[in-house]
Amino acid sequence: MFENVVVGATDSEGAVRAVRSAIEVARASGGTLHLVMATRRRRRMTVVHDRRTQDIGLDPTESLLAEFERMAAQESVRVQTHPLFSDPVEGMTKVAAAEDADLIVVGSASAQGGRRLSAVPKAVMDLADCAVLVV
Amino acid sequence: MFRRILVAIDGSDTGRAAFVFIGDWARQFDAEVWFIQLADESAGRHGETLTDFPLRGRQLANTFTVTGGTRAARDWQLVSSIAEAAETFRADLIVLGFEPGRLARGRSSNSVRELLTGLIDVPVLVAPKRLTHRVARAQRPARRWPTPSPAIALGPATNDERLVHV
Repeated sequence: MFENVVVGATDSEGAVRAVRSAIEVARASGGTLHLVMATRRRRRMTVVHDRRTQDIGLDPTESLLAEFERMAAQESVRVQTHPLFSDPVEGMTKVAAAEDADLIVVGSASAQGGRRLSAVPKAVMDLADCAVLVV
Repeated sequence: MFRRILVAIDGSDTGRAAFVFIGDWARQFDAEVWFIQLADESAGRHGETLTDFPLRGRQLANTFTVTGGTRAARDWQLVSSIAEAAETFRADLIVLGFEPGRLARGRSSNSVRELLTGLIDVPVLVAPKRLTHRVARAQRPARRWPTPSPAIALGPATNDERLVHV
């Protein structure tokens, strides 16, 4: 049923919950999980050495993607990663359209008794043609 | 995985898409599904949705009505009804199959989906907007009944008083 499941991957609590749910859905339906990590700018880790900032070349997004890939591999789910330098909404909807996705999974922030939708899930629901699951 | 699914639909194309979508879901994942249907009297929308799963025959889905002078009042009634039904049914997933205009953001108020996610801590799935080929096929008269699916259990045909707002 869900041959292609797209999920937005960041280091927020809601996004991690979304990735877990997407892995579960992809595993149950035997589909492919598309991990989209879209950032507007490259965030590289830097260290200060001899009063000069030195780029040590570590990208936290890459390590996070690797961690999510490992989580999916543990559940025997096929994964494709899409690290993009773009707006998160644009990145997810474009990947969903290109891969003919059946489902996009997005996270939400916890609030008192319920949850709070940030701008990204709202915009994804507005723009996406396929089903959108908010967890 | 989600096993108890509440589907809230109206008479729009998106509602029909949600109907077919969740039917596929229930068959594949062995889920129990309850349908409730919105009737918005203020807008003169009186569509009716008939469940056509052969296991229980054709019957009217649970219908609830929202009234109110403003869109915000009607949306709040709608969200309260869905949340109450989800608690009654102990749903672990809510599927919304409403026309896009009802789910879109208002200028001064939150939309149904934002109100619902703020009110209840249950995952919400917004059904696909487009009419897929499967939905279009489902809208044509069927030549014969599909294979009965014991995975789909529909709610009672009569209205539940707790879900009705007149």
